[in-house]
Amino acid sequence: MNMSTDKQEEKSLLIDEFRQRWLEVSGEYVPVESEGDVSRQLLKIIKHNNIRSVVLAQLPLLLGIYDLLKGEVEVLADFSSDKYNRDKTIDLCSRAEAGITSVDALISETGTLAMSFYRRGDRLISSLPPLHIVVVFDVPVYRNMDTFLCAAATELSLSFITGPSRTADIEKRLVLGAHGPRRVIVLGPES
Amino acid sequence: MSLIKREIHKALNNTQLREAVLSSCRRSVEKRNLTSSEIDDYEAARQRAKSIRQRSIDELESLHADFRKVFEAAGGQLHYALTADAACRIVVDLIRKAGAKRGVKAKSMVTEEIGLGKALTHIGIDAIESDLGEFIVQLAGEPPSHITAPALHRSKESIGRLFAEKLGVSYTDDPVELTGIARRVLRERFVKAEFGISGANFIAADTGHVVVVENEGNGRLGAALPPLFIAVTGIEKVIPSLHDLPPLLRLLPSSATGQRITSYVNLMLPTGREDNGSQEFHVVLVDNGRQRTIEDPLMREMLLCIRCGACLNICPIYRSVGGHVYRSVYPGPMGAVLSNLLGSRSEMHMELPFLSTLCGACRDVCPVDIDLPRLLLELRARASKPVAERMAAAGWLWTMSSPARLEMAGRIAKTTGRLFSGVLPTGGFVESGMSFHHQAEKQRR
Repeated sequence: MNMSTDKQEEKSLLIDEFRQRWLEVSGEYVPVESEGDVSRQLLKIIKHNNIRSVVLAQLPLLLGIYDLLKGEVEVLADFSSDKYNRDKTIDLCSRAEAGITSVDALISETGTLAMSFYRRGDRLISSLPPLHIVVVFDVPVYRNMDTFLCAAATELSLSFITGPSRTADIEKRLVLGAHGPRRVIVLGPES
Repeated sequence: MSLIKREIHKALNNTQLREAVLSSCRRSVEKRNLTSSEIDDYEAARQRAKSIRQRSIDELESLHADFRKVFEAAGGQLHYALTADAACRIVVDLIRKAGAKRGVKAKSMVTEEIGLGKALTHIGIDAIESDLGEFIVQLAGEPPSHITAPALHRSKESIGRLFAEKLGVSYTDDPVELTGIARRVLRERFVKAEFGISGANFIAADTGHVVVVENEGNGRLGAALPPLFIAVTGIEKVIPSLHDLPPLLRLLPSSATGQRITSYVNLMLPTGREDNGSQEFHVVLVDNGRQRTIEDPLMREMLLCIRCGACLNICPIYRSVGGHVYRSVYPGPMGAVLSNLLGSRSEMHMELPFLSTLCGACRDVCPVDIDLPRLLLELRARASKPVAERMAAAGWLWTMSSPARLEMAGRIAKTTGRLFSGVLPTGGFVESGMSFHHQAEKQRR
């Protein structure tokens, strides 16, 4: 009993640290109260930002909200079927105003998302649209990259994502959205 | 007055250039100081990073073998190139074989070093630079002036004029708008790209990952979108294990841009590429003088370098004149050393080690603790050797710069039993240079 409370507390602290670091790198964070709250918050973000089209990663958690989204926004691709066409994926992801994925883990020390690529389309969904929405409800949190790599499946391609795409190549002025998303919104636990 | 002195005077009289370089370097150093002060026991972290890089160099051959095994098992193809020309040939052949014409390039100092851009343009292959800074200098027809901030020497006004002239857009000097213009132009090219070329910060011998550290997202796109992906990097970039990556990443972005970590760190494998990434995944490992540097006990320390650029930003000479004065792909303190170790050297580069006050600031900020002043002094001593000796050394370099000549020299060496005896910096390196070359050729067949 005590053990699990300790673990819960430790996870809370790590999530708090993640959230702080994530905000420091111009990431955005929307707390969700429960799994059921995810779709409500997601819809709110989509409406608030006038998003007209999305691409959705193949993800059990997101499949539940597919129908919900369909009424409100054009779902260009959901990748839940087995028919996968690379050129079509590139085309759809280029047209979508937002891409929705989950990630494998959070890394608190640097405010980093760890995302491995075994799900179809994930790399493009998280790279091409100007807005990347990340649903991280109930994913593991690691203190740093070292501890994450010890637990991770290293036979996959991985990306560590820390905030939106950025450049400072013109007079060292920070500009967001160089080639990747201008905004990355994490929907995550309260703490 | 020598050429380099004329260049220095020109730079010193260019107020706009000097202001751009100095303010940029100052900001980089401030940010670097801030993030490195957050690291618990910085010196211990630095020694740990150094020891990882040391092991990489010490065990290079076996680490390459390990990397080859896992990388090829995952479906990738590994190539070795002894010289810059050989490396360009490998890349050109891969692109030609795929029937590709247009592609995208991510930032890579090694591709600058081997002159890949020129080699591709020469045969009508269009490879557009996708890193914003590289895109700017490519448009301007200039070389990069800094290893991590290629367009550091340019003001936003001059970039605005360049974009208006070359891209036909209306003039703006707003960095946000300029970045947006580059994004639109390049996005089009990304989607249509038939090949992607990038560098690699590290390759992991135990897992086969190719590691690309970047901020803009062009590295990810260049690897994910085109059907053919080629990573070109130096032979020394191998690290023993993926678990060695975090200690190096703790220092690399912090030293380079003052970030705790970059927006993207991509660990790429050839597997799963039919779904998310490229159909073909190649790594080209470039020697171009690295192996002979490893065998030069006084200079091998330079190969620990992880290309952060901190020594440029802090160097009083670099800050005063910028990168173009060095007339080498690698400027600043690291460049003054590296330019005399890699490729086929000219007399010109022998002057570079003298562009230093030996103040030692470069050594202090180096994340892998390279004793740059010692290396600069050693190169100064070598530069002042008698002319006859230097001529012989130059002949040796000419020999080394071409596989055909090297092979011939090897044959001559076998019959005479010795080659340029007495003037070579280290004995026996031709032997291993040959075997490395043969290994490279064998693997290409």
